[in-house]
Amino acid sequence: MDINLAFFVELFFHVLGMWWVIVPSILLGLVVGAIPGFSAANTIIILLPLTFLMDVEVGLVFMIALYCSSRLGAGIPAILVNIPGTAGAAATPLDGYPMAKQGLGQRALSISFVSSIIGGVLTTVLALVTMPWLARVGFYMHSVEMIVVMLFGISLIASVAAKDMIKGLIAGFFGLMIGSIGADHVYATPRGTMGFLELYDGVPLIPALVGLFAISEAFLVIEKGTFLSKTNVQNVDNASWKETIIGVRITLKRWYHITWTSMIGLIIGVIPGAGAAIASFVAYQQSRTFSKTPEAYGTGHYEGLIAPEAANNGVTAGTLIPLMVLGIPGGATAAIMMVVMQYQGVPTGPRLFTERPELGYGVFMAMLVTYLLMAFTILPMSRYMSRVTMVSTTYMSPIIIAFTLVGSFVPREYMFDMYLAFAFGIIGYIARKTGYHVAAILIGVILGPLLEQYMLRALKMSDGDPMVLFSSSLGNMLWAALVITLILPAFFKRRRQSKAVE
Amino acid sequence: MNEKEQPISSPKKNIAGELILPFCALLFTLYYFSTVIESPWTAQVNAFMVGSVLIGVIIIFFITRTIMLLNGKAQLHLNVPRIHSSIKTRQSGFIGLTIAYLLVIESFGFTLTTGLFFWGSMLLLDYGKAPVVKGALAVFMALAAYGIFILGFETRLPKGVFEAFLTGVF
Repeated sequence: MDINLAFFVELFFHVLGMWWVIVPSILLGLVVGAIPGFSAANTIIILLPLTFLMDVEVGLVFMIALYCSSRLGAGIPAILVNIPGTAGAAATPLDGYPMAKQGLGQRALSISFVSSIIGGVLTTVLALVTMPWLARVGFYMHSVEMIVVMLFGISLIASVAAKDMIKGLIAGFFGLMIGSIGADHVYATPRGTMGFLELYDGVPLIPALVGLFAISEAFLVIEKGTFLSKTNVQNVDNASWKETIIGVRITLKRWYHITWTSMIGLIIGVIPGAGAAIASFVAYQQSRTFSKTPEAYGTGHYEGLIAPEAANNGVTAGTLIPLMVLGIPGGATAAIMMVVMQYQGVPTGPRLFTERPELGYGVFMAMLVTYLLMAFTILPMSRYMSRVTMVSTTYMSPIIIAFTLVGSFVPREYMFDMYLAFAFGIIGYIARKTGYHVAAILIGVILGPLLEQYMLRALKMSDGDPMVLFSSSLGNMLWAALVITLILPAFFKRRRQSKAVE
Repeated sequence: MNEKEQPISSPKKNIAGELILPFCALLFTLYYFSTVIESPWTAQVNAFMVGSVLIGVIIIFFITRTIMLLNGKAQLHLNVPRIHSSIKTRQSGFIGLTIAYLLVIESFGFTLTTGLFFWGSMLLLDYGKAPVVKGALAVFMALAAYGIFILGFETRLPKGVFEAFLTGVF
C-alpha cells in the first residue's frame, strides 16, 4: 500500500464516516472528564467488554474520541467552579476561574475549547509527520533529564507565589512533603503514613485534587451565596453568542502561543511516565516566563488559560506515539488500547505500519477527526455551560461535595480516600482563607513523588554521587534552559521598568 | 449601634490565621523526620532535602511575622469578624453534615445517604425554605446519581437498604 497524500485523504474521509461512533463518544468523554475520578482510562476499562465486541477499527476510534474529549472535558468544571476534572487540568483554573468569576465564563470556555482543539489538531498532524523521530525522545530521557523536566514544573510554584513568595514557598514545599508520604521506592520503608495502610502507595492524586479545589470551594462559596457578584450575574445573563465568537477571535489571534505550548505538551507526552499534569504546569510556567505581562497571570489572563489547555491536549497525541511506533504504551489509556489491539490480533510497534498501515495512521486520523468534530459539537455549548456559575450555592455546594467525594472514592474504591479528600478540603479551606495558594500545594503533591523517584534512581545508579545530576549532555542543556527560564522573568521585568522610566 | 458609634477599623493585619498552615507544615515535617530517622538513606534523602528547605522558609516566615508584631504592624487574635454569624452557622452546619455524610454512607449506602445529605444541606443553606420541593429535588438527584455512578459506571459505592431493595426488584 502506498503511503501518500491520496492515502491520507481517503483515510480521513473513512474515519469521518464513523461520526456515529465519534459524536456519542465525545459527549461521554466530556462527562467522564468533567467528574473528578472518572478518567477516560477508567471508562474504557468499564466498557472494555463492549470494545472487544466491536470491530477493531470502531473500537479504536471509540477509545480515541473518548480519550481526547475527556481531556477537554476536564477543563470545563476547572473554569466554571474551580474544580479540575483531572490532574491534567490543574493549571486551568489559575486563570480560567478568575475569568468565570468576572462573568466571563462563556468566553473562558470558548478560549479553552478553541485552544484545546487547535492544540490537539496541530500536535496530531505533527505526530503523523514526525512519528519515527519523536518516538526516540523517550530513549534519551533518563532519570537525570526527567529530574530537570520535573523542576521545570515545580518552578511554577515560584510564579504562583509571586504575590507573597514566602507563603507560596511554604505551600509548595508543604505539598512536596505531603507528596513524599508513602513507602520509599527502594526498600519500601513506610514514611509519614500515620499508620494508614492506604497511604503506603503514596497520597492518591484525586482525593488531593478534589479536596484542595472542590471541597474547599464548596465551603467557601457558602460565605458568598453565589459564585458571581450581582454585576457579573448580569454579564452572564446578558451574554450572547458574541461572547463565544470573541473567545474564538482572542484565541486565534494567539495562534503562536497555542503552537509552542502544544509542542511542549507533545514532547512531554512522548516521555513515558510524564503526563498532562506536568505538561500543563511546564507550559503555564514557560508561557508566563516569556510573557510581556507576567503580572496579569492568575487574574484571568487569556494566555494563562490557553497555555495549559493547548499543552494538555498536545499530550494526547504524544502519549500514543511510543505505543504506535515502538509498542511501548506511554500512559494508562495507551496501555488499554494495546490490550484491545492484542486481543484483536493487531500488532503494535513497527509491524503495525507495515502490516496494517490504515490502523496505525488511522489512530492519529481518528484523533484529528475527533478534534475537528469537537469544534462543531462543543463550542456551541459554551453559552449554556457558563450558566452553571449562576446557580445558587444552596444547590451547587451539596452537589459539589457529594459528587466529588464519590469521584475520590472511584479510582481505588477505598472509603479512606473520601476521608482523605475531606481532610484536603479542610487544608484547602484554611489555605485559601489565609492567603496560601492551593495550586502550589497541589503542584508539590503531584510532582513531589515523581521527582523523588527519578532522583533516587539517578543516585542509586551513581552510588549516591550527586554529580550524576550533571553527567549527561542533554541533561546539562536542560539545566541551562531551566536556569535561563528562572532568570529571564527578572531580566524582562528590569528591562520593562527601564523602558517605562525612559 | 449606628455608623458613627462604630470603632474605626484597625489598620493592623491579623496574622493569627496565616500561622495555622506553617505550624501544621512544621509539625508534619518533624513527624515525617521521626519516621525516617532510622531508615536507609534512600528513604531519607528526599525528606531531609525538602523538609529542611520547608523548615528554613517557615523560620523566615515566623521571624518576619514576629518583627511585624513587634513593630505594631500586625496583631494576633482568633475571631473572624468578616463573616456574618448566620453564614458562619450555616457553614459550620454544612461542614457537620459533610462529616455525617462520610460517617454514615458505609452503613446506609450511597443513594439513601446522598439523598438525605442533599435534602438536609439544601434546607440548611436556604434557611429551611420549601422543604417539599427540596425533598423532591434531593430524591431526583440521588436517583440520578444512582443511575450514573452505580448503574452506568458500575462503581462499587457503599451499598445499603435502598441498593439491596433495587437489586431484589431487578
